[in-house]
Amino acid sequence: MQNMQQIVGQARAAFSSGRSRPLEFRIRQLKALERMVQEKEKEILAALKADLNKCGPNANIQEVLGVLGELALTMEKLPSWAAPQPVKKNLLTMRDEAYIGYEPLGVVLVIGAWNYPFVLVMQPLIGAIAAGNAVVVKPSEVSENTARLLAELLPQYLDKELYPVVAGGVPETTELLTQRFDHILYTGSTAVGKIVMAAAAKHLTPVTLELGGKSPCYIDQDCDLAVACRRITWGKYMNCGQTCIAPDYILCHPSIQGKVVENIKATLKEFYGEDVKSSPDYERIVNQRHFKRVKSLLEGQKIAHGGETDEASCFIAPTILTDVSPESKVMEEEIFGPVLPIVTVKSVEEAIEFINLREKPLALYVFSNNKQLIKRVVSETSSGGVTGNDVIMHYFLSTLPFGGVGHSGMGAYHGKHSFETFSHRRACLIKDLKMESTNKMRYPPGSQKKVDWAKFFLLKRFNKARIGLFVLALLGVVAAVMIKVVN
Amino acid sequence: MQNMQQIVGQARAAFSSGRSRPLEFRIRQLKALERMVQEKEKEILAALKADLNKCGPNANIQEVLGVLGELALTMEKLPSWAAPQPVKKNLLTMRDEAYIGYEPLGVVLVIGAWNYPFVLVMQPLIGAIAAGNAVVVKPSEVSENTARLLAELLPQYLDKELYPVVAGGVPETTELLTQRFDHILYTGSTAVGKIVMAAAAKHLTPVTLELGGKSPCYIDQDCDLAVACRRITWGKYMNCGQTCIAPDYILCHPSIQGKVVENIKATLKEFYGEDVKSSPDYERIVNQRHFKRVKSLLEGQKIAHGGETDEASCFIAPTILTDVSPESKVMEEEIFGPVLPIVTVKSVEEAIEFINLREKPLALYVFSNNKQLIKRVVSETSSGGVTGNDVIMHYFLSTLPFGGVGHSGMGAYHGRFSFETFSHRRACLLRDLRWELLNKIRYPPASMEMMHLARLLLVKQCSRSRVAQFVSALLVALKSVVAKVSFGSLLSL
Repeated sequence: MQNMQQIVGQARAAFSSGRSRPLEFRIRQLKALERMVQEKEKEILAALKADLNKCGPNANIQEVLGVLGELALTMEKLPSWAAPQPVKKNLLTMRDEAYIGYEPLGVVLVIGAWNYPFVLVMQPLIGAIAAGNAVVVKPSEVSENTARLLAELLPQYLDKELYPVVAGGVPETTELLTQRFDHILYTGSTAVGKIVMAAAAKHLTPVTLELGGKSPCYIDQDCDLAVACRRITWGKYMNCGQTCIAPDYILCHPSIQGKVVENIKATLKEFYGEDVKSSPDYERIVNQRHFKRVKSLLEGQKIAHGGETDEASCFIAPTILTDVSPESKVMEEEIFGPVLPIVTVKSVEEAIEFINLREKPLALYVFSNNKQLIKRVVSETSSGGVTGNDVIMHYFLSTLPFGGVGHSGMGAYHGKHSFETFSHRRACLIKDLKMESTNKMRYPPGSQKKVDWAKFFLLKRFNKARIGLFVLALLGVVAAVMIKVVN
Repeated sequence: MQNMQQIVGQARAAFSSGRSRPLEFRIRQLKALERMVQEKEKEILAALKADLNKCGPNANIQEVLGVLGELALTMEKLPSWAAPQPVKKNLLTMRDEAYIGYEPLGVVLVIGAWNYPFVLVMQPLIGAIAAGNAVVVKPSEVSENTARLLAELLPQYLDKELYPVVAGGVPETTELLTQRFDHILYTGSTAVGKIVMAAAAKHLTPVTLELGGKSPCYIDQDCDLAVACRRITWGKYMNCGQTCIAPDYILCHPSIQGKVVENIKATLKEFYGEDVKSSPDYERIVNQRHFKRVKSLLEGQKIAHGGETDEASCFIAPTILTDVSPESKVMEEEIFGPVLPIVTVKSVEEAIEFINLREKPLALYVFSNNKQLIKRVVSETSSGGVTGNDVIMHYFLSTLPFGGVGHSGMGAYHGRFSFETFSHRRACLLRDLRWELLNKIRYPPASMEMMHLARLLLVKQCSRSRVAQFVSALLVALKSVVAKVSFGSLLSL
């Protein structure tokens, strides 16, 4: 096992040296990451293929392009994000400098996941570097090829001491979590999320937890079913269903269940051809353990399509289950596989009730031609994020904060939200030592007169016009002088 | 012991009823709180006097006015805070509705502290109500008169089920913390902060922890000492030093230590008169336990002023210690009392190093005529917040987030930050079912051509001018049609 205390200690010493503070340094690191992604694209794609059977173009679109986009955005915007942000002042602080300063937190820990092993390490890493921190990177050992590649590549392109990569599984991660960090971003399961937060509590380390859940997908009767089902099929079966914001299950009226199945079947053929097993675009379950887990969810279910499995290659065909009972196993935990249960509901009210009985999911999807209905479902439920009339897509707009709520997580990142997550927002009020007489009303001895003046300043401040402000300030000075004279 | 499960369950059922969601309801509750503060001002001031010997005017300025101000601000701004916030879109989402929606979290727990027992319950409560939550309020049992008053008053003015008040000490709070909440805001000590966060972890409840630390106060040689010391004296000895953002200790050059002491002494006389014990403006230590704790910090120290104590009345005189050793007990923990140690440093570099060897404090203070020096100290240290050339005051500007970092806390509140702390920011992207053609690049079967197009769209999006954006979009649409046509013709072969 690597010496965790030494690695984290080295990162902390490197951070304390101050070299990650200047923006030029951070941008140089980000530029190096950009070069790494461009120069080593082949190796990255090969690792993703080995880990999840992701083909080149898919891996590129799913993981590499997002990283390049985030790098370009961050390098462009960093100066404006990092600049002190002046805030609106009140009467008391009219003459002062008041702003929020963005500062690095120190040493950040990023724990990646295995389903999108490249982007789920890189995107947090980009934000943490941009915010000026040292970053300890712990890729998921389950996606071992990508983990090995990151451990190899990152030290070649980045400052070795500031951004160390730690390898290993549960024992190594447990040891790592005993160390003290200034922020931890963890992507993974709800169960482990609790363990991470409990470990963080020992050091009062703030956490961002990107967890999971069962993301519901409601299909309204008033809806272009062909389009809706094509989009759902894409989001459900990409990466063999192993996507944290995949539509987990469908809710729809029994009268359209048959059509939904037909449309999804037709789309599957479009996407993967007649023999899905030989399609280069269809991925595999990441390992035997998850293969067995997902396969067991099919027991006792009505399989409307698919259901074929092959343990040796961890292959599970795109599967649709119909008339699924809410109490069955497949409706208990997050599926994280290419199995799509359809649960029928008689109305949108029933769908909303169904969703609200369960833990808040990471994503929620509603398909309808009726925008009002979509807004209603959104307002009467909760979830990390929402895409209406599509799936997954809110993930790709970096001006939207990406994160969960309740058991699906806490905190958010992407774009500027990453920068803010990994920064400390420091409240700064810089005054001068002049105009001391205006402070008289706050000093003892207290008096009702002082209270009345304080009331005037503290309570009336919001509705004043500019001229009024000037007059008030003058009155304040006069009053202060008067109080002093009277006392 | 009250039945915590029942109380929280009732609050949750009340929240699920949906009645706290409409803005009108929330504003009505806030208006009721405002009435409560105005109608029961006498009772509130009496409770603060009983708990901490705060006199009326001080209690008013320290606690009541802040609450009234926060209520007025929140009621005025709530519609704009709660409105969906549209976000800048990219090429892919040009035609869509993209915004951040602010939603209540559910049932929030607010745990108050004893030093400002009224405002430290009220201010979080205001924000949590404004954000549409149910709120379980747990005032500190140490400030028992205020706790009792809140338990009496809040149900008279607010919805009883949505905003229950829970009484009790450690056993009751421990029991309460086994329940599931959707957010916990705790104000208090670092040690208990860890306990709260560990309890929250069991339910994956996000927390805002307003803790403490030793807030340093650096006085530069180039500085108007009389003014600086008056401001420091005010912030240090208000509420008998029991303020989370009080200047805990002073760092200054040995050559001005004497003058600093003289100026503070002079100011103390201005503020509290010759006999501080009989001044109505000087508070008391909250209880015997803390009295003993603070008194023990004086052992072995050079007392330049003060040092008088009276256990029966929990009185500790405003005290200044000079030439304090960094290793002494008074420099270990947060003092939270009217004892002001001065540690001498030879330079601002030494001061910065001294500060950085310790845990990040809740506040940091620098006094200097030289703004550059102030900015340098700020940039080479970290703390929850900073006031330059004064103390405490960043607390009173509600457009500044108030909170700690590291051991002094996590998260922040006040004003709009309260509203956002107690809300879930939900990312919303609403599309329509048309223009399905444009989606072709993302569907299997993948091809290099599609990938290049995607690259063009996803990576170049940040540096496009508007015209170029339009042209790109057209090209994409065109290419998709062409691809579909050729793909279609491929299929039909």
